Order: sequence, then C-alpha cells, then structure tokens
Amino acid sequence: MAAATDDAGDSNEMIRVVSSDGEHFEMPEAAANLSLVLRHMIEDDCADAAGIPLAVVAAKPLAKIVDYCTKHAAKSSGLTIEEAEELKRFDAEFIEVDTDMLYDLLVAADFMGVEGLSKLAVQRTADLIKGKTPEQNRETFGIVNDFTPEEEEEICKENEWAFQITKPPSRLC
Amino acid sequence: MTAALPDDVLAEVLRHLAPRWLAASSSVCKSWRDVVDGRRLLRTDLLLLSLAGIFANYIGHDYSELFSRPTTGDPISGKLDFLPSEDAWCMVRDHCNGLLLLESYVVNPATRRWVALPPYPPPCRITMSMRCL
Repeated sequence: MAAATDDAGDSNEMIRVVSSDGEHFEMPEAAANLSLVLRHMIEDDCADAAGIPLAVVAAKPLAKIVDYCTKHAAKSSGLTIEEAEELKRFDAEFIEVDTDMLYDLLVAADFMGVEGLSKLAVQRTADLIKGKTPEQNRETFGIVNDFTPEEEEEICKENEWAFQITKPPSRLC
Repeated sequence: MTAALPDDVLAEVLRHLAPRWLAASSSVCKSWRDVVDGRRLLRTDLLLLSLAGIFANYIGHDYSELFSRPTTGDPISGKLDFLPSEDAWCMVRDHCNGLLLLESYVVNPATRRWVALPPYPPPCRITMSMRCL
C-alpha cells in the first residue's frame, strides 16, 4: 500500500473505507477519487478515521475495487505507450474472475460510481453472453428459465433469425 | 450469478450486444426479455436480415447491375427477366426492405415475385398548357 501511495503523486492522504461486512480498507485519496460516491464523501468531509461505510459492498469485491482504483490512480496522467499497455494488461487480468465476482463488481462499481471499472465489467459480461445459446447463458450465469413452454416457443419463433447462422446442435432454447 | 442484476446494469450490459445476441438474450428469462423489450434495445424494424447483393445504377447504363458474392445456396439473379415487359432492363428507381421499385413494377428479386403498379394518373392539363407556353 505504501508503494501505491508514493505512485499516486500529489495526494498522500489515505482514505479508509468499510465494507458491508465490517472489514476496513485503505487507499490513497487519488484512488478513492475515482469513485464518484467516495469523492463526494471526501469533499463533504465525511472521510474520517472511522472510515466511509459502504453498506452494499462486501469485503471481497471491495478489496478488488481498492486494487483497481489504486492501480489506475497511480497511472492516471501522462501515460507512456508502455504504461498504457501495462494498464490494459492489468485490466484484462483483473477482470478474469468467476461470474459471482463479476456480478459483485458490476453492482459495486455501479453503486460506487467507478466509471472505468463499470465499463470493464460490463464489457466482460457482454463478451461472456455473446456467441451463446440461451441455455448456455442460463448455465453460465445460474439463471432459472422462468418461461412457460408456450411462452418459450413463441419467443424462440420470434427470434428464430438470430440462430440461423450459429445453428446450435441441440434445441435452441 | 446468484441474484438478478439491477435493471439499469443489465440494460447497460445488453446494450453492448449485437442484435443477434440481443435477440438470443431475450430468450434467457423473463427479466432479460423485459429489459430488452421495455427499453426497446432490439429494433427489429431496423435490422438488415441478410445481404445477398447490391444493385448499382451507372451513369450511361440503361439498367441496374447486381453485385453479389458467389454462393453455394440459391443465387439471386440481377436479371429481372421474369417480368412481362421491357422493365427487365430498366433502372431501379428506389428500394425498401429488399423490394425494388421499377418504372411499372415493384419486384422482389429474391423471391422473383412482382406486382404491377396502378396506371399513372392522367397528366394535369394546367401543367401541360404551362409546358406549351
């Protein structure tokens, strides 16, 4: 964490945040500023030693978000091509998570207003969806098919054109 | 994912999908379908279902040419020789959703079906006299 503080430049102050399950985290102010919610709290002098409580973000995703923000704040301005490439590699590796963590990151990044992370998680989720049949997507994301057989038949018929090229081996839906 | 994503986040995800995957997504479950339908993410009326070829009008040519890729399926011919009259060799005046407007017919070159346009209204007299002037 100390190295990250040095990298972050002007702001050396550490901001404390508390997860919904009571775990404390610290990050440089520049990193916290990447979250719209945290930035407003800091501007309103709500960042004290007790830490800013994040009621809907659990420790596991919060640890990831602190990592993401710290890395991105440290590399926020005047990037060389190599640094930009490195940051891209960091993002690609960072978002290689299971679907439960991806879900937590989507919700938490949206709640905390971390734009870059939101985009990253949204794109990753969209990439997981595309190229799959509805049944494969239900499996990937643990979704229960709540259509009645009649509804399912109707919607499959309506969207039949979407499957004309892929032609999955078994039934479409 | 054990719980359902908030609608706004789900909509943002689905917005990143090409129409084909969006249509497939609406078959996953009711909440996905509701987001796709409710936010009009999939504009089927704007979709180009397939592209078999392109008609081009050349200056100096009396008829339109069809460019198409070689295909193993049923090829679509740019020759509209199934039409009853000379219209087989005329310019495509306009087009919409794969239908062609010719001088006297509306034609679907893919299905080789056509209908004749109703006769033109008689020319307006005032216009004619104006022309004479």
